[in-house]
Amino acid sequence: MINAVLVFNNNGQPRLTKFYSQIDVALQQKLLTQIFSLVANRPASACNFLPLPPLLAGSSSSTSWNTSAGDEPTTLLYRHYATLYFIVISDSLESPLGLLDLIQVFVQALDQLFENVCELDLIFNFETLHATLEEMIVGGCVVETDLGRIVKAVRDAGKVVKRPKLGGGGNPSGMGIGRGGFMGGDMVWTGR
Amino acid sequence: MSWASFHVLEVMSSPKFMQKRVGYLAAVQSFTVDTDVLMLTTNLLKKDLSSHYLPETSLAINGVSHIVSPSLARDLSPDLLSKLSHTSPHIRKKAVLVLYKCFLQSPELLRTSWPRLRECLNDEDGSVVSATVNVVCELARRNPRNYLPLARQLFKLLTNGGNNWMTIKLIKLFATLTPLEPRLIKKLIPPIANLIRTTPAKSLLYECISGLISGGLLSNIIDTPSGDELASVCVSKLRDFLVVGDSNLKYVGLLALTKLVGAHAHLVAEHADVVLDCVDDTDISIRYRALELVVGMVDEDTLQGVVGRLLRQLKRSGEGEGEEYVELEVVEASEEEDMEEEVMHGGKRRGQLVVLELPEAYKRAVIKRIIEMCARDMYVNVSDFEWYLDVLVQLVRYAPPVGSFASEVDDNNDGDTDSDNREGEDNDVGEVIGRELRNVAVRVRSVRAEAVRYAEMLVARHDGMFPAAGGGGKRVLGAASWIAGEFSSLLTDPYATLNALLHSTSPLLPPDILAVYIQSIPKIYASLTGSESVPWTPARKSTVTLLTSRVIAFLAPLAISPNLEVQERSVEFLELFRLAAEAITAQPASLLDAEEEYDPPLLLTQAIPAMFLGMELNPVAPRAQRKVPLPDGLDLDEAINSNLQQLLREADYADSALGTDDEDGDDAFREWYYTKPLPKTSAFASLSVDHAAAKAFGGGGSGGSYQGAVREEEYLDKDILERRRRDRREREKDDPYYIGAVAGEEGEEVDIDSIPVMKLDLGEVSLSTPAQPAKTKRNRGKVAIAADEGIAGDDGGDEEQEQEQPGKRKGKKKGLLGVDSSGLMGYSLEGDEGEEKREMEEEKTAMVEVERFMAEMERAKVNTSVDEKAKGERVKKDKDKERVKKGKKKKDKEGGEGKKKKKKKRAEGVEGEKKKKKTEVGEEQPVVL
Repeated sequence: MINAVLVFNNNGQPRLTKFYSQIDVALQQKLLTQIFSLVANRPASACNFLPLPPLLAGSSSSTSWNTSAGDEPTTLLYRHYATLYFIVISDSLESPLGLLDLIQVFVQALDQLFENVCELDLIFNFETLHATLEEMIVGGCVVETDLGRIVKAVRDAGKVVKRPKLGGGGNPSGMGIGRGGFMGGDMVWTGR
Repeated sequence: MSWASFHVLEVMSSPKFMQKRVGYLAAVQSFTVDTDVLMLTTNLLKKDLSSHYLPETSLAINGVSHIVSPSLARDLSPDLLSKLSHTSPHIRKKAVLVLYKCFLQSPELLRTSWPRLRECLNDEDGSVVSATVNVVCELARRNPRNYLPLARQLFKLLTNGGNNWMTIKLIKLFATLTPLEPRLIKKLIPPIANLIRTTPAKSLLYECISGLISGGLLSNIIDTPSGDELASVCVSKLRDFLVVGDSNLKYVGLLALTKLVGAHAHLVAEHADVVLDCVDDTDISIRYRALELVVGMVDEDTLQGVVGRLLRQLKRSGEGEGEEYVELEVVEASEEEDMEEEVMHGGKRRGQLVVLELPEAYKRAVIKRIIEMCARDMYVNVSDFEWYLDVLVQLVRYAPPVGSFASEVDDNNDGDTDSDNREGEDNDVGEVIGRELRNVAVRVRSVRAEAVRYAEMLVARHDGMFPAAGGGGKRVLGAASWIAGEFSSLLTDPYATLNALLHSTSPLLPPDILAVYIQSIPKIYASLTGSESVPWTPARKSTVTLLTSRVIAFLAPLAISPNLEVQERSVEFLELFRLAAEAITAQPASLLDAEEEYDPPLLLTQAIPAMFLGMELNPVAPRAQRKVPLPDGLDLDEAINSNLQQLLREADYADSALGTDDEDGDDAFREWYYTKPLPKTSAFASLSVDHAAAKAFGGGGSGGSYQGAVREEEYLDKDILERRRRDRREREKDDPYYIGAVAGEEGEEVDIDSIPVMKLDLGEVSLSTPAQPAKTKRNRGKVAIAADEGIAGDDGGDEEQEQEQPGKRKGKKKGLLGVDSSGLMGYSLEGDEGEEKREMEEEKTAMVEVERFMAEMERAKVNTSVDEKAKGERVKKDKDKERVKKGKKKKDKEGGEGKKKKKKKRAEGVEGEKKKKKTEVGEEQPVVL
């Protein structure tokens, strides 16, 4: 199962922390700091897998990669979009590549909900952020991966407040191009 | 924020959905199982679950998934189960997942709700099925046997295709089922093979392959031709992962290969070339994985090449040449505008290039892995031990600094390296290297002289033997001094070595190493002075006197060392050397022209050497000591000194009188065990000169690889190479089969084995006979490796104990994010076997009891109240048992019947029950596929 989903920005300020097991807030913060220090100085070309931070590494040995019985988190992966890091911690029962894709779906869903999502959107509409995640993951298990359905379910649950646009940034056609460019260039893996 | 719990609850019960949502969000983020208002939520949740407004139901389900407690799980399960047949698939799929959370909290729910859950596998909505598979997959991990009956249904889902997520889960599920049901393998292979060949999704492909590996499918079919083919398809697909250029695929590819390498090393070895490229990847995560893989992959032929590559990495980073560059991701100061940057469409900026700095933890891991792969299976892969010694000595130079370790802990720690690193002693890889040096010196007699020579150089701290800065690798001195002492007869210059040991900086070493030094000094002293044949001339007398007084001067201050080990050893030897000094002065020297001849003092020639000479030390199996039989008449409980109590009391008194004394002892004790050795840079200031020289050489040495193979010049330092050449020439002189100019061969060694094998070109290769197998055999024959000595007879005990220990350790630790699933672990749907047994036992004792009562009744005709009491007890017991069984029967759709039986039983007498019970136990059906 998925143990935790975290979102924080380039400075390590958390924007979303969702742990699917109950742990102490102080520990959550410590874990977050550790993960941030791991993720912050990764080169752009590096893979999206991180070694387990000391807090987690202590509990699982290297052999747990191979055993399916362990509940301990074994995989820590991240994706970096503009100013935000999306982190997923999972155990060996989840497919690592699938999870990377899940993050991508998550971000795409947010993008559709907010129309060009940015960090500020997430700060002011954290409920929507949580609601979106809840449509995708329930109790640590992936429940939906279909972009359309996720977006629809979140919209059904309540209207999504959009951030008032500042300046003349909102040229729809220009954005469309931007999106196309992004999909072609940045998406590391387009397997699914 | 437990203070707000109640307010959160109030907001949760707000009639407005938007407020309710906020309330639930707060509850989800802040409530725990221990939150006391949780018991107040039951009705609220029930109400919200049955709401007609879908988002509200969904919200409640979500809330339950986070805050469910055992009692909530029991109370809400009927509501949740009814949601399994909700009209909206959106609710159904979430209800399925929430039920899993409830099972975790109260496992007995699983039995009652399993039939309903099982029906969800036939749901018409794909995502509900997917969610159900997900839950079954999680459940099956705890107790796979329960879910074998589902195999057919699951198999249908697998072949029907559909959602990739579900297929991945199905494959993971089957991977846990196949070990229990080998017949599944034959059925599973065709669809999985088909998926592997056809699927465009890399994630599915990867999971198929890793499922094949971890489910043991591959090893099962490997002997059949089709299995062989499938295996090679898998491995070649994994190869594609490695070469395609995507670092994520590379990472998971290596992961899968690592799983594979244990059972099918030969398959992986075919792709050694790409794997080795990954060892040099710019990404540390990938390097770690590749390193792990390589350890399992090496064989006798590739070992030297692989080690060469790894050493070259260390060399590069150590000497600042041939650096690799990586692009850092841009991290900018956060301003408001940054936050507005669109997450998805933000322009990609290039970060600046920085030199790839290998983290110290990685270097440490490399060194440990090198040693691990060389030492594996009693050096089965090492054919050339002189080479190995060279590598070890080279590793000492690359040892990362010790002091920086603490600051690095949060910096880089991969799961497998940190656990050994934490133990204070292992901070310095010198310890590990030293252990290996000692191992080789003891086990491999043919290179012992060589090892002793290196030890000598290490002890003397020859220029360039240690890294120029940072003080890493110093712990190798412990082993080196031991070797120098133990094999002191092989020392080329014992006097210089003794001088090095007696150096004024030695007492500054960590106490455990110092203790070894103190032990080694008399050994070398004995071999220096103990000769009987050399006449006892005044010259000899004065040298020995001088030496003795130096040793005494060295030991005297150590006799008051705070470290007990050091103190004890130095006090002992100090007395010995004082005696020796007396003996030396007492014995007049025989002058050349004198008529009287004096022998050297007996203490020197007989007594001291006798302490150290004699039986040669052999490696002993780690657990041999335990098997030594207890000698007769040894009573360990018997006090040696009957006055012990009084002595202790006196000691206590003395301690309290001295006050701080005890504390000092404690400190020393702690220091001895827990503090890491202090880096001592002062003694090594001179090394920087040599380091510069080495750098100058390195500039020519590692310009580029020669046809991809690694040459020794690229990773071994000049002086070590020089020594190798000299040795080789010497050997070749005596080799009648070796023809050719020795001089010509020097410097330009030609690759004989070409790229794919990564064979390191050694001089030895050119001397050996062309037939490879013959060569290896010869090498193996030549190098005798002493095995561990143990007490013959019972070897079985060893492994048992070793296996036991890790299990224990694992049990103790609980993962930080881990879910407590102990309730579900091994929880059977069909009723626990253990429970069954307990029941049977209970029944038996009850029967005995009843019979006894009956007999008593008949015999003595006791009054009826006793009898009734007994009956009452019996019935009560049965009721309890009945409740457990009810769930089972419900599953078999016999719930009503069960109740009837129960009623009947109540009416019936004691004897009737017995029979019924027996038949029921017999009805228990074994799990059939």
